Amino acid sequence: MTQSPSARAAPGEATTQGNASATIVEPISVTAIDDLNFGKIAAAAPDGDGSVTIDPASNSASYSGSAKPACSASSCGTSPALFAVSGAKGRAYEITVPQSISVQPMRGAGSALTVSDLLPVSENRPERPYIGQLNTAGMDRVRVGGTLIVPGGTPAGSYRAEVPLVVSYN
Amino acid sequence: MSSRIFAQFLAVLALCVSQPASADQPDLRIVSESDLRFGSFAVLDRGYREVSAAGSVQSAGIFSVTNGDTGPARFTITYDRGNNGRRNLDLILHVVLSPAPVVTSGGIVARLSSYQTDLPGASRVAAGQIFEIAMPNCRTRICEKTFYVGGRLDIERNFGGARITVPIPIDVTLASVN
Repeated sequence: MTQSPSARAAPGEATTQGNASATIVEPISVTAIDDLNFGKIAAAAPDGDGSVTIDPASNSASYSGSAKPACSASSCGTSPALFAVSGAKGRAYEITVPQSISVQPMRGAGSALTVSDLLPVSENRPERPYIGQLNTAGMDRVRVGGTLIVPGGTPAGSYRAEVPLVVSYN
Repeated sequence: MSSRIFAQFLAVLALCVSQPASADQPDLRIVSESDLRFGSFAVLDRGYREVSAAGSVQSAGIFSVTNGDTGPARFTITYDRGNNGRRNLDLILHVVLSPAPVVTSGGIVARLSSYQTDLPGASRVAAGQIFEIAMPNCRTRICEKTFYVGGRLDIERNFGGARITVPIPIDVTLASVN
């Protein structure tokens, strides 16, 4: 039996370096700063429904139906909810809010009211609701508006609800 | 003129015939074909992700940011016998995955451990441990063996984020040829 020279060659050695890679992203966080405030409202007619809408882009309030502002324009104190968002620099993220929330009376009798059409708008990316964009410092602010439905015959009182907001990288 | 050319041709031919047949030396190589990819994720303070040699992923303390960007490393060992002989060779190779260094980038500290492979008898290997790869029935000049390596990446996050690259040193030695 013969052997070729390569079969008897001294054992060879070889080396290389692979890599393991990962991208660690700073967690995204959100902090509530201001409440969504529909201000003081007068339900003008007992039998007619009305509504108040807060526009998160312009911060303005608009009234329809039986709902009227019970204050001067400067003293109503209407405002969209405001949240501060921080995370990885330059990353886009999704904003999730419920479609509607129930608003409970704080004092006195009365039924719960409904806030519908909750709309979140990012300061850094106002053209696309529900999408935010962290700036080069990893910061953004989100305003949330909505429409408060005021049924006819709603008793006077203060109403309050929590507005949940969830942010996540997309 | 023509007889001189014929003479030169004979001389060259004689030179070629007088030299012994040459063969290259056997050559062993290992090539990294793809990285061990742990993907993109967020970590509050500490967590880990483990990618198996088959590509399955387990995580704790982290939040996935993207999907489908994970996978095991792939290495290919090539043995070139150096000639075109057709004798059947059974190769035994010894492979060592060395300890990976701890990598720090900004507020991120990354540790790679718990190597895994898809090789029989070496599903889990410690850093520095020798494991064996068999390449039986090598009948061609060049024979190859590709294998996959997984591992576990532990992350400590003090602040911020980072793109982390941890080297995986790997050595292979031809232990026997029969």
